[in-house]
Amino acid sequence: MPQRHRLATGGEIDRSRPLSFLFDGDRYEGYAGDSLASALVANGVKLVGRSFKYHRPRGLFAAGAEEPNGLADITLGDQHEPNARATLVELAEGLIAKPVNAEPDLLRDRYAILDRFARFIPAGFYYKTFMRPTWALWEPRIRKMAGLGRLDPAAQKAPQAARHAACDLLVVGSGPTGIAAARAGLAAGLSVWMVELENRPGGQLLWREAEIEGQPARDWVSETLAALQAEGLHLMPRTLAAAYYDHNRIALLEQRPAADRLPDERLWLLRAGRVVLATGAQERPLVFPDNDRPGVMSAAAAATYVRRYAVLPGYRVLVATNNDDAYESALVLKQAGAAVTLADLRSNPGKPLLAAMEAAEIRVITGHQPVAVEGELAVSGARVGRTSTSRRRGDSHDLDVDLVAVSGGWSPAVHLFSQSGGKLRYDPTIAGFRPKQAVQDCESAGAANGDFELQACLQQGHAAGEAAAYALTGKSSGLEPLNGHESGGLGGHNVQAFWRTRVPNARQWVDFQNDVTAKDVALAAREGYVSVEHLKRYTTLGMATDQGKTSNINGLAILGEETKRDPGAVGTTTFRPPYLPLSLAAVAGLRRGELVSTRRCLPAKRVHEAAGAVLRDYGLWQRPAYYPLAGEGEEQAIKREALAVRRQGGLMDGSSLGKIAVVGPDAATFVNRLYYNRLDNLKPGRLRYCLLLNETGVVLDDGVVARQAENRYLLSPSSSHTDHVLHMLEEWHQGEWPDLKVSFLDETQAWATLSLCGPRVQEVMGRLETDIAWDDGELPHMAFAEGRVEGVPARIARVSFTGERGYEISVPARYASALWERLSQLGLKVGMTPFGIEALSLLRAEKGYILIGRDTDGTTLPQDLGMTGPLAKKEVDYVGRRSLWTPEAKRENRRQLVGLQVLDEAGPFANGAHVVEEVGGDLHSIGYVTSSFASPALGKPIALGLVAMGRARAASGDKVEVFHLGQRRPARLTGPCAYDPTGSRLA
Amino acid sequence: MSAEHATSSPLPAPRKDLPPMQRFTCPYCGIRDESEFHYISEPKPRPASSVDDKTWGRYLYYEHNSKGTHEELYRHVCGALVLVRRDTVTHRVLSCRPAAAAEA
Repeated sequence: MPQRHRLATGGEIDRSRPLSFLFDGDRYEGYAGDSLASALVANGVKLVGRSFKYHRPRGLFAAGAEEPNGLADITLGDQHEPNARATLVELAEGLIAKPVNAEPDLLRDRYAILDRFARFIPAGFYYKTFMRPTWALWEPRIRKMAGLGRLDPAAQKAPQAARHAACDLLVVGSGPTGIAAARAGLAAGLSVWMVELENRPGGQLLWREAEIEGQPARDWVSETLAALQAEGLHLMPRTLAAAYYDHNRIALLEQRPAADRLPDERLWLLRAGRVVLATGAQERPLVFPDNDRPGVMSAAAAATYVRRYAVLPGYRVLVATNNDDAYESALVLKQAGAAVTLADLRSNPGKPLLAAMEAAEIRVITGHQPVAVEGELAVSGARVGRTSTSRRRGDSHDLDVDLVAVSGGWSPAVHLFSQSGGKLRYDPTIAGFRPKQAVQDCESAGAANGDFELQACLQQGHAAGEAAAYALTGKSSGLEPLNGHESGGLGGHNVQAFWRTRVPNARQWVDFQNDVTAKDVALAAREGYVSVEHLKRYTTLGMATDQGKTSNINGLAILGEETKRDPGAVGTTTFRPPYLPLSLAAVAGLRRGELVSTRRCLPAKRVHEAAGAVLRDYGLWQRPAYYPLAGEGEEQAIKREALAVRRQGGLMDGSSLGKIAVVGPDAATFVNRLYYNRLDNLKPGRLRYCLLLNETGVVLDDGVVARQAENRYLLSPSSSHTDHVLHMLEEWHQGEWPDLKVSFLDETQAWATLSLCGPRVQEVMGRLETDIAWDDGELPHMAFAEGRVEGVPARIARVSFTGERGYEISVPARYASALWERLSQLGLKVGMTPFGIEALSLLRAEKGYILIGRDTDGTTLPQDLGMTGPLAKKEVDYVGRRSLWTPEAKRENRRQLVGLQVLDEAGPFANGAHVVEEVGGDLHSIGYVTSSFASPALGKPIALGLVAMGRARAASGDKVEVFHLGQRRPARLTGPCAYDPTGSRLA
Repeated sequence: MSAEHATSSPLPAPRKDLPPMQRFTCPYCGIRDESEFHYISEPKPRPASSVDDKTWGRYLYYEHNSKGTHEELYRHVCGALVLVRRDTVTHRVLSCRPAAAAEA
C-alpha cells in the first residue's frame, strides 16, 4: 500500500506533487516537501542501513543533521552524492538512493553474518589481532570491507566559485533564538546573515506547539522572517555552517535547489563582526539492550516526522524517557492516531505531567526502563522493567509495539562554539555540556546555550542581538524582547541523568554509526583508556561522518561511571570542523584543472597554433615547445629547429619575458642598489646582463637591463620571475629606500617581443621596413634603439640567448601576430625556422648560459657562476652584497658551474645525476648534472653541472664520475661554454 | 507556511566600519581581508655592510616572534607594503601603517 504511514492532513508537504524514487532497488512514492527519510517513513521502510562494523540492521534514529544510520549514496540524473544523510536529502523525482554498507542489498547483505561473531570482535580487536604477522598483510582485505559510501568520479556537480563576504552579525540557526537575535540586530542597523541547515526555517518550532507574540509559532516564524527579509535580513536556508575559524571567519556551504539535478553547492568564507550561535540542541538516545533495532527512534524525531512531514513512524508506540520533554512527543504521536505507552525512568515525574497523560489516554509506567527490544529487521515488541535504582523488583511489562521513541535528554549543539575555541562545562541540571565564556566575538543563546524553554530562547536571542549591536555600533534596537510560551502546556525540561541500564550480558549501543556498545566503553576503561580522547581512538566512539552527535555524551558519561568520575571531569573530545561532512569538490570550487592557476597566453597564440606549435605550460605561461612538421616526432623537431638556428636562422616568440620599467629621477640609484652588477654607468641605449640576488646573496634572477633614458630603465626578468621581481622592487622601495623618487611599471603584457637569431637573419632584417638604424655600427651587440618597424612603434635590441647573432623586436602586443607572420614570410628565403622553448633550452646550454633554478639552486652565489667582476669592483652597497663576504661564501669547496664532457659512448647524462668521487671505498656526491642534452650542432652530448671546486677542477681538466641508477660513467670537467667559446658568432 | 521552500534573499552590502579582526587596512584600498595580504617579514633595520658576520647573520635569519604585541610587514595585492602591529595572543590588530611612513 503506497505511503500507508502518511497522515491524511497536515505537514509541510504538497500532496498534489507526488514524487517517485528508488531506495535499495525498490520503487516508492513520496511528496514534494519530503526528505528522503520522511518518504521512507511514509512507506513503512524500517530498515534503512547496515552498521559499519557488524553490519547490524539499522533504522532511522533522527530527523535532522544528527542522523547516524540513514546514510545513502544518492544518484539523480548524471549526478552523484555519496554518503548523504537521508534526513537532509530533499526528495526529487527519479532520485535513486543506495544504502551504504550493504551488498547486494539491505536484506541480503553479505557481511550481515559478521554480527554473529560480534562477541569475538570487541573494541580494539583489530588493533590486537591484525598485528601479526604484519598489518600490511591484512590491510587490503579490511580496507575493502571498511569505508562508507562509494564515490563516482565521473558524476561531478558543476563547480561553483567560492565567495568571500563580510557581515556585521551572523546568526547560525533559524529557530526562535536565532530569529529573536536577527530581529534585534537588524533593528539596530546591523547587516545580518542568518544560515539554516534545513530547507525551511523555524528549528524546533517546525513541530512544537507554541505561541509567540500571540500568534501560533509556525505562522509567527514565516511572517516574522518575511518582514525581516524585507528589512534586509540575508537568509540562507540549506546552508551548513561547516567551520568556525579564528577571527570570526566562518565557512558556509550553501546548497541551492536546482531543477532535475542535485542542489548546486557553493562555499562561502564569511567574516562576521559578531556571531550568535543559535544552533539548538539534539536529543540523545537512551542506552538499553538492543536499542539499535530499526524502529527505535528519538522521540522528538518521531514527533518531527508527524508534524513536519505528516508521517506516523509507528502505530503502537513505547515512549521511553528520563525527562519531561518527551511527554510532548508522546502527545504528538497520540494525537496523530498512535496508541502510546510511556515509560519514565523516574519514579516521580510530577502530577501535571501524569494528569496530561491521563487526559490524553496515554498509559504511563513510572520507574521503568526498556530492557529488551524484539524484532531483528523492525521492532515488533519491547519489554520495560524496573530501573536498577528502584527498590522494588519484578513487575516487568511486555508491550506490543512497532516503535520505541526514546529521549535521553537534550545536548546543546556546542560544536561551532567549541570550534571557535570556547570551553564547555558540565551542567548536571541538564545532564549535558553547555558553553562557558566565549573567546571570540560570539555568543551562544537559547537551546545551544543549554536553556531550552521558549521564553528563555526568545530572551537570550534578543539579548545576543542587542549585545552584537552594542559591540559594533554602540546602539540599541529599541525593541522590546519577544514573548512566547509552549502551548503543549507541559513545558519544563527536568531530566534525570541516566547513562545505561544494568541488564547483564546485554548489548547496549552507544554509537550507532561506529558500533560501539556500553561494554566496549567499559572494556576500554578496564584496559586503561581512561582519557576521553583515548577512548575515542580505541573504540572508534564518535568517529567517521557522524562525529558522535548522538553518542558523545552517553559514551563519556559511561566512561565516567566506569572510572568513578563525573562527566564534567571526563570532559569531551575536541570538536573539529567540519560540523557535517562536505565534499572536497565544494571546497575546491572552481580551483580545479586549468583554473588552479591562471594560464597566461602569448598575444600571438593563434598564429603559433596555425604554425603547428605544440603548446606547453612553462610556469604560468603557455608557450610553444616546438613546431613539428608532418610526421615528425618531438626529438626530431627540436633537433631540426636547433640546427636551423645555428645554420640559417630562427624565429622565437619571447613575449613572456618580463618588462618592468623603473622610472624616476632616482632610477639609476635604485637599480644600482638592487642589482649585483653596476648599472649607474650604463649608457642610455645600452644593455647589460645582470644578476639579481636576494639578501642572503643567492642568485634570484638574471636578465638583461636596458637603460632607455637617463631616468628610465627597463628590466627583463625571467618569464616566471616577473611577478616576484616586481614585488621585490616594491618591497625594497617602500620598506628600505622610500626616499628614492622612483616608480615601477609592469609592461610585460603590453609589448610582444619576437626574437630573430642565426647567421642569416641580417638578410631578413634587411627586408624589414624600419626607421631604426640597426647595422652593426649603429647597433652593436648589447645595444638597442627605438623607432618604428613596419609602421608601428618598436624597439630593436641586439641580444642573444642562443649564441647566434640576434635581434629582438618589440612591438605593442596587438601587433604580435602581424609581425610574426611578416617575419616568417620574410624569413622563408633564408630558411628561417620558428623554434620553441625546447630548442632554445638546448641552444643556451650549448653556450653555457644558465637558467635560474635549473642551473642554480638555493645556495648559488654569483661567484659560483664565475661572475666575480662586481664582487671585486662594485663599491656601492647592493642587495645581498654583505652575504657574499661571509665564511660560507668564501668556503673553498663551494659548488660551481661547470661543463661536463661525456667520455664514453652512452649518450647524454641524466639530468640530476650525481657527480661522485670515491673516498676510502665510499662514493661521495660532489655535485650534480643540471642541464644535459645531445647537441646537434656539435654532434655529441653536452652537460652543465654544479660541482664542488668545479672551476679549479675544470681548469686542470679533472676527470670525474657521474652516477645514475647504479651506473658510473666517466666525464671530464670543462668550462660551461661548449659552443663558440670566443663568442665570434654574436657580433 | 506553504509547502514552497524558503528561498535566499539578496545580499546586503558589507559595512566599511567593521571592528578589528584579522582584517588589515591597506593605505590605498581600505579594510581588506587578511587573505589578500602576503606576509613578508618582521621589520628589521638593515645593518651597514661593514658589520661583522654575526650581526649580519642575526639580521638575515633571526626573528623576534614575540608573544603579545608584534610587528610584521605585509604586502597587499595592490602592491602596498603595510606595517601591521598586532597581538599574537589575542590576534587583535592594533595598527596598520604604510611601511614607507613607518621608516621615515
